[in-house]
Amino acid sequence: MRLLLVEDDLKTASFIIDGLKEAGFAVDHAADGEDGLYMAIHEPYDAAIIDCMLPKLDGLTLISRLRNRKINTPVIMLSAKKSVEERIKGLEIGSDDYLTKPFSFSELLARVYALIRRATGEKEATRLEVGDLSLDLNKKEVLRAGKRIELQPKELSLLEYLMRNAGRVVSKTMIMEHVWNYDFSPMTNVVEARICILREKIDTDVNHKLIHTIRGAGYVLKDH
Amino acid sequence: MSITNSYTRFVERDMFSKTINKFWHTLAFKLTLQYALIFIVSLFGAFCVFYIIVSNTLQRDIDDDLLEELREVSDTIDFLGIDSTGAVKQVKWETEERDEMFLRVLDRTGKVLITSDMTYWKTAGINTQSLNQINAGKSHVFETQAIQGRQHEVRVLYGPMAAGKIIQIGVTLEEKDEFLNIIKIAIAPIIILFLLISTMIGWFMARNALSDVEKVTKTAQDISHGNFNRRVQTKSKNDEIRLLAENFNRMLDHIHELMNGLKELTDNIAHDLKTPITRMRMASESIIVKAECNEECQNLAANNIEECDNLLQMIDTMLMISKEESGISEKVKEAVNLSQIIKNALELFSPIADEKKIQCLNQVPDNVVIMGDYHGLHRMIINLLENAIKYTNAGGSITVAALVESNIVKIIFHDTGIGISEEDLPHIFERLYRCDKSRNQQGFGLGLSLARAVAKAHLGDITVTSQPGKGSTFTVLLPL
Repeated sequence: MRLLLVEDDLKTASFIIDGLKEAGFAVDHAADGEDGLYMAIHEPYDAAIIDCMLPKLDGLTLISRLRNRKINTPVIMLSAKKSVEERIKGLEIGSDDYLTKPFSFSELLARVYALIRRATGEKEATRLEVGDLSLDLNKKEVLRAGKRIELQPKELSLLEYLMRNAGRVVSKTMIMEHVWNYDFSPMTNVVEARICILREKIDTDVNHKLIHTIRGAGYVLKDH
Repeated sequence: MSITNSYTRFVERDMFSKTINKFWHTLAFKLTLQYALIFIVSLFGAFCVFYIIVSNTLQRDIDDDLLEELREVSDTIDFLGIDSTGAVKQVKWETEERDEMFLRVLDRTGKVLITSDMTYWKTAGINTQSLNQINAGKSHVFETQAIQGRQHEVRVLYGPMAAGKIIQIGVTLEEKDEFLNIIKIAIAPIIILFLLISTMIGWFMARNALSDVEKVTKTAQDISHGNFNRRVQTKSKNDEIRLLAENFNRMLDHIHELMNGLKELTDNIAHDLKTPITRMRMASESIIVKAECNEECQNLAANNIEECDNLLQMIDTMLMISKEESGISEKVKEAVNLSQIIKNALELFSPIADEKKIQCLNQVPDNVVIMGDYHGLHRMIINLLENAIKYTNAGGSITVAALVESNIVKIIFHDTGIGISEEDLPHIFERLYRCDKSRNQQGFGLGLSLARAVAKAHLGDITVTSQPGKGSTFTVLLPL
């Protein structure tokens, strides 16, 4: 998988590049809009991460020029502005996703995966399995080591989201956005409370735990 | 809905723009009053002058007639001889069957020599001072006497005759009084008519002059609700009001410019702060995912991330408060289902409420919908609910209710929590204010400020009543 990163802040860029490389991606970097456009036109990328405020050519114009040339590389736009209008404008111009700075790296990673999955037309599974935990989305049935577990609707969505991102860290912000459709987090740690409940139902009476808390980053569901 | 009814008394206050509710406090009314008053005083003054002139003219005419009469009578009597019966006859004849006149011939000392019929003039006196003046050589002396039993005064003239005799003629002022009375009676309806007309003209003039002032007020009101693009339009040409409007508009342009500058500045500061914080956060994050770092190192990184997140959230909330305070544009308004938001918010907090053993009651009817900014209203409800849960002890309860009235929606958050002390109550909506002075409690004291800013951006408000130790009630008022 080959990604293009167009970001003028070199320090931020280096963190993103390091992280993406660690996750197994090949990453090219452009420090301004013109270079970015040139690279995006001439190289086939699986996805592009483009900052909004760029020297020489701003992110929005870059994306619209790409789309005018019928280049449909999936694009995640990065912006420091957290306004709904800005987000809508970005999506209208042809970006596929929008991420407001600051974001956690895990969130960017999850979005890149989701984007590539969508672009390649991979069908979303209706049955998810991690270790001895399985979730049938049609029947809304959860089994752990063959034992049926009853979950509330929100707990079910939370589990589904964790299982779809199995092995990857998901942040509180991502959970708030995907499970509750909230674009902000209350001060009170509502996600933590919900994870606790889910953990009690899934991880008690078993030898190995599936849901892990990564302090400062979020949660991960993985089978050792 | 029993609980909601008991709260209504807290919110029976005029929450929205203040208007001049008493007609007689309006400037238009005061101007009209002044105008009518000045008009009436001038009219009355003019009438008085007119009255005095008429009165004086009439008096002069009467005096002239009297002098004429005096000359004629004295000539006749002189001709007839003062002691003749003819003279007596003449005197009687002059005043015969006339109750408007009397005539007497006196000697130097005032002794009556000849007199007309004095039935009507019983108390008509002889003034020795006037006699003395005639004796001293004056050609004539006038005086005015009141006659007992008669309505009108009498004008009396003394004049010298041959052989030191003095003639006294009196004539009633009835005619003059009646004429002046007619003027007086006629003037009253004229004054009332003019008063009405002047009041009406005054009212129209004042209204006309002030209609542009009203526009300035209306625009100012609009602007205070956040619609900063409004400007005053006036139809007047080149007068003071136009000058006022122009200066007002110029001031608004200037303020707008300053506000935009400030907004840009804060946006830029926020952005500039966010970038290094983001870097810090990312650096810490890369430490966490690296397996070679030890646990202590990872803990430090995690703490760092948490602090970064807090800072970022604080910056975001501050930015959102200033955004809400600058008002919401019509563009972002949509039909927002408050019932749904409240239901979802209660669901979101249910694990925390369960954990604290707090009972949450939802008494909001279905489909309470207003036009507004979904994002802002959502944050407002979450913040208020979060606040209620935070300050309610185990075993307490939280009730959310809503009342839809003709033009207003009231959402009531009632808790049986620790309450707010009287000294804190006026400040709880202030930015960064926290009742807990030690600042040990989690949070930045921005939640309620944001909630209130959102309500105000929707032309509403949030009111609060509280009893320390018993609980608090927050009431959100939103116009439909």
